[in-house]
Amino acid sequence: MMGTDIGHADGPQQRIARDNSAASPALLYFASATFWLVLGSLLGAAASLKFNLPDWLSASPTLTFGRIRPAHLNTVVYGWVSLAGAGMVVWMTARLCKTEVRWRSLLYVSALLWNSGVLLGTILLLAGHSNGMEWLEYPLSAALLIAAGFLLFAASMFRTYAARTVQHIYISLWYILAALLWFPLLYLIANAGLYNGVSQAAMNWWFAHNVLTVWVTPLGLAGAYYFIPKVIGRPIYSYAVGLIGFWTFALFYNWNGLHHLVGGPLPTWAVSASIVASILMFIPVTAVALNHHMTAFRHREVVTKSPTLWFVVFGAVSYTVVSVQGSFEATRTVQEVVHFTHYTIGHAHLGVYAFASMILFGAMYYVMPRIVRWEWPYPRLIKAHFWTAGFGIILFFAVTTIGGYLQGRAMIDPSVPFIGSVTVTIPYLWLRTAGGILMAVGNILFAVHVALIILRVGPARIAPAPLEEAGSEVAS
Amino acid sequence: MDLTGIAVSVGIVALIGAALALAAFLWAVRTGQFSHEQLRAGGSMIFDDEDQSGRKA
Repeated sequence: MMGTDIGHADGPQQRIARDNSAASPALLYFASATFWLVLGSLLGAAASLKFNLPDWLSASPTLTFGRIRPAHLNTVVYGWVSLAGAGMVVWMTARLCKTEVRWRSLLYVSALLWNSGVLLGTILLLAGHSNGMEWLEYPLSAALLIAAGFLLFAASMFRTYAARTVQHIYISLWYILAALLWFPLLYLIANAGLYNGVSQAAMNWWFAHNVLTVWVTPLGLAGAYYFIPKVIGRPIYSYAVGLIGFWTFALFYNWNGLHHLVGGPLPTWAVSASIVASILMFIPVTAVALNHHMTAFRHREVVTKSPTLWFVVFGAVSYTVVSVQGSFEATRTVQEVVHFTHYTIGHAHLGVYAFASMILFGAMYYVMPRIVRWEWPYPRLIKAHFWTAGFGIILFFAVTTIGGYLQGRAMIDPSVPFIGSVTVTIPYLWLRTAGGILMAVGNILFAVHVALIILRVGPARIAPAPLEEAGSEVAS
Repeated sequence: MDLTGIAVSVGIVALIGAALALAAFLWAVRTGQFSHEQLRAGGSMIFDDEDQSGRKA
């Protein structure tokens, strides 16, 4: 029964019971997400290497760029980000609603269906069965499995929300509830198969942008709004501004997708409305940036010691960068240069990896020890993960941005033959692959550490592992 | 489905979505989610005994 309590501290027994109710489903989502992270990373690194060595692995149709690349994209978004996000949401919802997770059996079935969908979809993609629409390549059979898994997951989360014992909805929960409503609407409409021709292109980019903005982004922001103040131990800088940020986010963000079709055969007003909405995103982004950065900056001594905050703050800073970049990128002046170039790939990676994935890493570094009741055994692995992943994505973003801009300038210059827009990117493509491999190495280190903590292998620690004390393991 | 049919169907979905968002916002206002007291105390609702025990990272 819902009380009138805003949400003051309660006893340890209640919290432990709530955490226990979320532990097994969250672990299932986290473990499977980590598997897809590794597979997706390897597929991505292989796809990038094919830019440098076009004949590499070209004898097998299964391993051609046209199959590996969508397999990378879909396993990362629907496998890694979505499933890790689901694990984080299960755990956070129990805490924010101050109640135990309801309809837990649905979550196990959900994880089974969701993983089956990603597995089936990836196999079908590699076998050559693709819908041919970016971010929607999985055939309908796989998409339906994912949708069914998501609906069961959402049902359990809404039931848990309905059983909450606190009256106030914390800002992270607003983002979670919105994402739970938006994603199924988006995914089912996009997969309905009602569209062809120009309308199909419009729907494709409405979906492709929104799967990032109204699914992946709310997950990341929900995590940042929870873990930054939680680990620091102080409330966010301005709670009221945070709520303004959420509602303006809800108002403007889903209009953004059609800026991908600047210059396309669409009504000008539709594209213009999308560009205006993209610029209006400065309002919620400023609200989020103010809250996250001011909270972290005021307590920077805590940030330097916490593995969770290293990743989450990196992700929060990346959100500001990718959002500001995205607003400018949506304008016709910038689009006419960078469209159809590697610049867009850099932007997408900044959003999915530097922002969302880094926050999910941070969330898992916080949640996993509480789920398995075992501290991370090797703090040095956390450091190695952070530096390889962080340096990898910064390198990747920098070279795709510069290389993509030069590529775009060459493409629109009538005095430059088309091949000139290809050759100008070659050095940048080698560095892009180096960045991708670094990220993959970081992800593998993370996966190894996740396996070790689940199996409780390695030195036992009596307390959480601040990064500054790396190497101070307590013998088991 | 032709372009008009798609525009109508997407328009209906958009209106339903907008109505849901408006309903959620009005519900939040009516139930005091944005009251002065809740805005003041809401940011602290995530803290519990675990934070008091000093276990953070």
